[in-house]
Amino acid sequence: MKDLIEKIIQVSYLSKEGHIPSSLSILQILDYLYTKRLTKWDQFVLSKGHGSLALYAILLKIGAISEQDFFSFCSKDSKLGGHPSSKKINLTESVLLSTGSLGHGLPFCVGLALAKKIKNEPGNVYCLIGDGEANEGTTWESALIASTYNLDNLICIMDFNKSGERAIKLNNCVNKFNSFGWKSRCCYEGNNIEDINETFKDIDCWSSIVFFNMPTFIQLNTIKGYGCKIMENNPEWHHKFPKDETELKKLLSEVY
Amino acid sequence: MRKVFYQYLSQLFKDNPKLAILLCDIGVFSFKSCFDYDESRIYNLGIMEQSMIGVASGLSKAGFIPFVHSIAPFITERCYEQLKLNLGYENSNVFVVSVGGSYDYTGLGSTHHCPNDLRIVSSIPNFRTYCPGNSKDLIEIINSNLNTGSPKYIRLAETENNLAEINSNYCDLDFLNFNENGICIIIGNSIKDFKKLFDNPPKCSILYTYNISEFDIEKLKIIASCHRKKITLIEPCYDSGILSQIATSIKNIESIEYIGLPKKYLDDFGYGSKEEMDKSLKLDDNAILERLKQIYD
Repeated sequence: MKDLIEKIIQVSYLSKEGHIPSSLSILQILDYLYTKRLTKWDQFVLSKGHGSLALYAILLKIGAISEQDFFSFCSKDSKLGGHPSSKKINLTESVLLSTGSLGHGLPFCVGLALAKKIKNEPGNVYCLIGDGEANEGTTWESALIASTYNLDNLICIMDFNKSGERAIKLNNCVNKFNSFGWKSRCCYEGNNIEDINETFKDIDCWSSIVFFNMPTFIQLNTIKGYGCKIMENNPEWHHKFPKDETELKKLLSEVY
Repeated sequence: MRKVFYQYLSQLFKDNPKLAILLCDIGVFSFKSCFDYDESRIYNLGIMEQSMIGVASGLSKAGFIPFVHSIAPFITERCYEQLKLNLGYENSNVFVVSVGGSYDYTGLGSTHHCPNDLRIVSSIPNFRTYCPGNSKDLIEIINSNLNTGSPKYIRLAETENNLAEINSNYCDLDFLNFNENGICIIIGNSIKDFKKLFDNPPKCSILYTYNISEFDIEKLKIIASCHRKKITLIEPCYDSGILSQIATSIKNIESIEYIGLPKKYLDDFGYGSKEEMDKSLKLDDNAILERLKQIYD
């Protein structure tokens, strides 16, 4: 991960764009999904599109994009924008929906999951949202639709990096999603691959025994800016890039 | 038109397994046969317009052709960003079909009026926007767009025109009447009784279209070249954007007259019936014909 974190910081410096801390909080879950979880039948949507650098870094890691692609981030002819665009990136399985404006991914994923049900197709639909994003009413509309129509093939993962804390606090979203008819689980160390793995094991286990027909919600307690000490839980860095070589070096020295 | 929509779409739904229907708690009873036929492809999602558009976009991405149906202000203005991003940007093959455009729900007041739907949806790239004037138009629009792979907006009107009864072979922007003294363009159901119009026509050519976003300005340029450039546009809405296309595309215009809705909250003109509102706005057939006479005679 250290190598990918450094690349994210470097590309943000070069492009003078990107949401670094929001990307760092989801690097581990994306790594887990792309290297250990997603099958050819599964679909994934990064609803919190401002975390795009994490998605691009993982696509780089699995060889879906080249180093040259990655370092073209936000340049004029790049296919990798500040938010992922289905029109630009020629990886339809990675960017099914263009995101960036919040609250659009989950309703779209409800549609994908519904389509799988109608067509009797295998596989799950995974949607990664942010806790700040969950202020959007469409999150809760979709939660209601998904449980009403028994979309047990839909998995909503919330990157609970506490972005929303300074505005409207959501507190415990596990209880909230439970009350909307989802089976829910908190992953207390959402930047820890082992803990993520255990959480999904639990979910798989529950699915086969108790919670037949329910959609799944996972609250992933993460640290915004995880892996770069100076950025961790520091709102100042939300949409900021290293301003010069000195700051770049300082940030890179803080990566662990 | 609404009844024809329910009947026609119900038949299509049974014939085409790719079709899906999403309802915002309206038309549910009218689609009962679809619920009975295959409840896996028709959903009443309640009052959730924003999410419904997202769901439609997801279904479309998976290969379905969703029809989304609700009341005009809620399915256009309320969820404009969803129309722009989930349907327009993604170029999703989704039909958004509304009722209650302009002031079809006259008595319900400004919350349920929607004179601006055609303009705002037309301004979204990729969207095809239609204002059918009668059921023949509606069926043509659906049939010609089922596999176009782009989003469509269709405004169903409460009152139809009788053009199809008088001339069943009319086409987009064809001459319904020829007089080189000027051009009058009628959009959708702006005029209800074409018989009355033809019985005592104004001294100008009459053209008709239901096509808003793809208004055929090139065809109009050709038509204008053999007419006096005295042009009138009649629309059942706020300025849809066609007026500025005409003004900027046709050279040496002598005059342009616009007959449409004033940019006002329409309950300023009172409640009552649609016919009463037509009269208050001087948009009933008699008032429009009189205005045309003033312009061209």
